[in-house]
Amino acid sequence: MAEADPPRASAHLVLTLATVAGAGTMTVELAAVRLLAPWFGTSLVVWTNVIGVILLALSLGYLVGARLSAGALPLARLGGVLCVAAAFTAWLPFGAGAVAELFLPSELALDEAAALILWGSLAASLVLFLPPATLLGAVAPLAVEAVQRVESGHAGRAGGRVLAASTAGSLVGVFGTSHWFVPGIGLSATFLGAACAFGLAGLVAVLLGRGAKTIAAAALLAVGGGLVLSRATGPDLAEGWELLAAEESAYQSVRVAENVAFDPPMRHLQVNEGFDSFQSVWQPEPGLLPEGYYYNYFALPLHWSGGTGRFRVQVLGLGAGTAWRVLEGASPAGLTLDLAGVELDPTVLDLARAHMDLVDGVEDRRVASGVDARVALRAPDEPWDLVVLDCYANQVEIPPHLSTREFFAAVRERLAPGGWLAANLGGFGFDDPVVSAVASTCSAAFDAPVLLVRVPSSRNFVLYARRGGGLPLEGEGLAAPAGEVARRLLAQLEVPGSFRVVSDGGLVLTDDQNPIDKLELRSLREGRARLAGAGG
Amino acid sequence: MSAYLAVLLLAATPAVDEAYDTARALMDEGAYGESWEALQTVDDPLLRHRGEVDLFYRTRDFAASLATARRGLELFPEDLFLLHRAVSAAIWLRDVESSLALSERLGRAVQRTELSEAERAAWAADATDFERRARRLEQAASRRDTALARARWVSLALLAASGLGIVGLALKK
Repeated sequence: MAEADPPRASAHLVLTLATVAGAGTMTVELAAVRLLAPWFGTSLVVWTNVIGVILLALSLGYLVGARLSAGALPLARLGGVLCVAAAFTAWLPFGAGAVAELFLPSELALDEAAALILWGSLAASLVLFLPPATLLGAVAPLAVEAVQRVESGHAGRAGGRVLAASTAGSLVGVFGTSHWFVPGIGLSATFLGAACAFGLAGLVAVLLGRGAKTIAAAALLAVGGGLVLSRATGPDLAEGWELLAAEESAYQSVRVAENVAFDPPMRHLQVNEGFDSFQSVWQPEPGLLPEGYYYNYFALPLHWSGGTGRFRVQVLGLGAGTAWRVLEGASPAGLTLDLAGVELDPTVLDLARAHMDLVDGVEDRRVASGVDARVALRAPDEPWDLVVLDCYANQVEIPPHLSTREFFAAVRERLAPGGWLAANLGGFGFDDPVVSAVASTCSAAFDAPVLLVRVPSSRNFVLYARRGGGLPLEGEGLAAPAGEVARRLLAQLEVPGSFRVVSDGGLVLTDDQNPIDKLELRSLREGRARLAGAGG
Repeated sequence: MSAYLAVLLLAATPAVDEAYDTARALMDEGAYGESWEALQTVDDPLLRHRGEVDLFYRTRDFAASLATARRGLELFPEDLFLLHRAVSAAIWLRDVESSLALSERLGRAVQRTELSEAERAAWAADATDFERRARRLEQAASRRDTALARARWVSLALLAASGLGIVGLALKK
């Protein structure tokens, strides 16, 4: 018969330890993706890998805990397991960068890293999170055994109470991590806080359970070292760039970097992994950016419209306001811009106001902060003359709900007669799976052909759709309004293969059926080969 | 004299084809649409290919520039201008295989083409530079492949070990 723990180790204490362990486990699981995000992003693939590894580890941990629970002092072993888990957890911020860089070399273009995002994030997750999550998985069986021995009751009763306590803790971990810990104290402090919670719980269990204090002491020493040294760092900036600011938001890691070697100097706002991409761009004067930046082509509808007076623009995915600055400096004479924007991440807006000259909250400059673009479309407002869609997540992903026929139909409904949609798309050629599917879908929603324009010196395309009024075509080319801005943007599009008119007939993405994730993976995998074979 | 300048001079050298000269002048003015139209009337196939390759290059459609250069190189396999633009476009596209192959081909063509010493030195320098950049792309691709193999092996090994651990512990009495 198993020896019972000393009477002072009450069931309530064990359940409290299980609650703490549950909270910490969910904290680690949620924050794990953010820890890898600067290298691998936060795409569905990365989430799947991290969650999958945690589940695998828990499964293994349950069996490990079952074996350990057969021993004489389950409470003491519970304490030891928690202490060692604390040690691993404390060093996760420090180890993440080194491990990630083993599986993701620098100087890769985004499409070149596509396969590495899948396998690299899986390998990094296994190396980093398998050990601590396995240990945390062992907590539940040990806690069940400890409770049962104390109460001499049924296994089911003990198991149910431990699971309830652990799950209650998990709820605290889930909501606390997303709403308070990561945005409030940052990633490193979140992991260190979880480590301290594990360590404290483990120490209590070791002391009360009369367990091996040596293991606990060594583990807690490691936690102490982690408190001093273990800090999460992101990938190095590219050569020539200097960091101006970095923040952790509830959604992503955000940083602003500057390169003074450019004339004029340039600032980029980057989120999560950077590769060779950026989320927003700033230069000292509003107006057209250097060649290769797709934002410039958002200005064309202003010139194609050929009107004067008030021109209302809504930018979905405002970021740091790059589209606004381009439009402000590149609009034709006689137009008065009424600019609105929607940006999901308030931290991006804060950094933009501080470092990228975003001015909002004044007449004709309004931002809806913390709002999803599709939700924002439902807000009552006057019709728009131009809706700009620039909502890429993680550099390559269009949020699925912003790429469907229903979404584009909603955009169309918010446009004034003759109003425009201009959407940024990334891809490798007009036949890129993502580019062609989104264009077909948009055409179906607008019930009219749409225009795809290649952005020179980039992997980007701009998709134009119009609510009535026809596309800006003259003969076999694009309409060329007068003015230096239009001339500068359209000159390089005068050669064959610079644009394509797309009608409904291809794959149409709907809210119910939208394989955009698969199309994005296919686009990245096939990208280089498609470009190499382009042009016939 | 740099090879880049040599390329420009080669392209700008007045040819007997008036349409080509007109197309180049329009290209220099940024009238790319009109330049394209003028190039379609050029009789000399080499000049026409050179013009189209350069036009796509200047309008920053590097995929089209490379594809057009390849078609031209089928007819004129050692034309330095076509090779120069083709390598440059391939490097921009980060096409490792094409970059390496075309830069080596440019190097060989430089040796076989009748040139003055100064011209040969300039072209050779560019060919060497292209080859260096192509090698850098190759090294980056190699690092990527190594990292991918490492990620796959580590993942499969740890998954297998975890799976065996689960099965072993589950079966053990």
